[in-house]
Amino acid sequence: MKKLLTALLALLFVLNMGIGVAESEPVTIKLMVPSDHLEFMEQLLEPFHASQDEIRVEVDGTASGWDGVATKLITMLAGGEQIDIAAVSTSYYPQFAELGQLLDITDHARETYSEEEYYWSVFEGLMIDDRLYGVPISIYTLVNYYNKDMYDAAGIEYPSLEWGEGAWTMDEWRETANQLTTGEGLDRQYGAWIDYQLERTACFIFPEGLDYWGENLEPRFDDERIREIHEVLYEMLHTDEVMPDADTIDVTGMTQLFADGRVANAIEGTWSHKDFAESGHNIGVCPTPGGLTVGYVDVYIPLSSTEHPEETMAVLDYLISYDACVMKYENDKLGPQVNRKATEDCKDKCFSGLTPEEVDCIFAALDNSRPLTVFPEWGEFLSNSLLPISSLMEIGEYTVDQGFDELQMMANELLGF
Amino acid sequence: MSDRKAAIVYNKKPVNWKHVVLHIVLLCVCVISMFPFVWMISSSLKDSALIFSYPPELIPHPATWSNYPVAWEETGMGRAMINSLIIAVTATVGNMFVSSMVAYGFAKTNFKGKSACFMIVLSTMMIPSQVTLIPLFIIFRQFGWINTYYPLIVPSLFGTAANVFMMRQYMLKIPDDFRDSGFIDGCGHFRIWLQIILPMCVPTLVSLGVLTFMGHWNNYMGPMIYISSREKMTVPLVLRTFQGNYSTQWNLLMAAACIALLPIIALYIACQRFIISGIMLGGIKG
Repeated sequence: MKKLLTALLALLFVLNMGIGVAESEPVTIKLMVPSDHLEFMEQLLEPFHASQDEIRVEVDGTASGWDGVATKLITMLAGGEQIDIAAVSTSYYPQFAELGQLLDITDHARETYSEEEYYWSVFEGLMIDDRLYGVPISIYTLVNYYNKDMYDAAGIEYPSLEWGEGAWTMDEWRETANQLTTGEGLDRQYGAWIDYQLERTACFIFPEGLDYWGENLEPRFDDERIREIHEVLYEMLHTDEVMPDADTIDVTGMTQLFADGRVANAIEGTWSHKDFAESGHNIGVCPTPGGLTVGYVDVYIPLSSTEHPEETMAVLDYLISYDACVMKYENDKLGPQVNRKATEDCKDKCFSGLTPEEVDCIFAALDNSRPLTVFPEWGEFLSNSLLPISSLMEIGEYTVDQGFDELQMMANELLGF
Repeated sequence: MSDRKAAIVYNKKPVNWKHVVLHIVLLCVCVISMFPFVWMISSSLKDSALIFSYPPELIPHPATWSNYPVAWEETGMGRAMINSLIIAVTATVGNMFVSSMVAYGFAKTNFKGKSACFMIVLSTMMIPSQVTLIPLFIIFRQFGWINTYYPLIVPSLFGTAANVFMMRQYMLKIPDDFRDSGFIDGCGHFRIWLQIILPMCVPTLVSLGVLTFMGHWNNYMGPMIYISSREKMTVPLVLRTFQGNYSTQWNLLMAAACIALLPIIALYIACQRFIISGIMLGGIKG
């Protein structure tokens, strides 16, 4: 009997130890990123794991692209699967916030992210009804990349590096494009390019204080001035042919056209900087015409279904910390970061191929950009209306008026105006 | 000399212009079909600067063979191929086994409501996979199968409507006398299916097997939803890692795609003689 009792006690002791061990196990935070971020994210988390034992981050990088991540995330959330943090694009961020699926981190951000250490304007750009639901992965802006060799050959002065009122105008941009366009057929060199998608061409309407959305998100595709601006771009594309058409871009790709010396100015996001820098040309960067550009912020979102909000916040803090941002700059894959000090310290490590003044110009874009107006239905409107109709105008199937009339109608229907 | 001439004249067959035209058309179709494949191989041997160079080069100079080892090592392609093989082989073998068994039931047995049952089975082909995505996810989550291969294999083990249909069509062509002789020899349905009918269905079984294998090998959506760890990634997931949100490493993607194609090509070559005949025979009702 004694032996049995002793054995029982010993067993209980062992079991108790087991429970003790289980309790001290680190908390696992699940982080979902697009597949092309996977490798870098694992490297980025190595110092975090080495610095503490309480939190382990499991990275899920099986979904490809922002759409893939959103599809997987929606399925997992609908299925009740635990996920703590996900990387999403600007388009999806408001949709998840509106559905109440994100953790409100406003108070934590105000307490933790000081204005000295972080660019608070970026956080403010992510606010929805004055509440913050995520932190920036990286900040991209549209800028004008240009081929200095082509400018030199044509004897044209480089554009100003000043943003705001000191920047060149749309008329000057058009005139330069005309001067730099030469040749015919397959030998044609184009003076300018911007993707004829309305989310990109917003960089021409922002400087005039315009937007596609008015008060209370009332659609403004019927605004005359917005249409006039797009008429100019339409003429440049279809009448003047100073911009490569959609077929040429589809077949060859913008960065390759630039590398082949067939495009002088390209208004493109800083996410493509590496491609331009490796084009083999003497490249330059200057502000978009009008001096107020479009900013894109991809976001790490903490999910409200997390069982470990504190640990989730600790991981988010790390992802935008000085050390992490320095690593991101060294990797040279992501754009400018929200951490001010890391940005100032690493300016010389990023945006290769540019002069220090031009690098400053890119960073100055952060203060001279504004995000697109997005709303919960934005992702749906973008995929089903804005992009397809933009493409129809780009290939000349629709006139500007036809395209904008249809967009106005679709937006009215979607938003109930 | 005249004999030789006569022999030449004798051997000269009249030209069948119909055949010539047919062969020219087939050759054109073949070239068009092969072109994307040739372009993939060509792109896999280019460096990133040459990919979109103008005018395009079909034979890259110089050829960048290093894309292959880089693509293999960067993504853990070897491990992904083993993972895909485990899923595809298990699911295909199980699917063929069960589908043929169900098809036998519909083709060689009689029971009340057989036609209705067959219609119900066929109607499952009409349901888009997107509709069942979330309900299935919830079920598999309840089973604790997330981040395992079970959701990618187990549903196949219940057969698929398309395979059942094709197998049934083929089995209908086999005279019932074979089944009846089995009964006379004392066999039950299971033995008749396994030892008499199944060996006669090899062409269809192999051709459907190849198609099912390809379906699992190329499946992207399923693994994307159910797999979350790097070591369990399958080939389509690995291929997508070369495609970024803002840029794509085309040369490495093409090299990895060439590697990923090898098992499919090997399988196709091994089973080639069965594939066309199997599909054709399955489509003819006897």
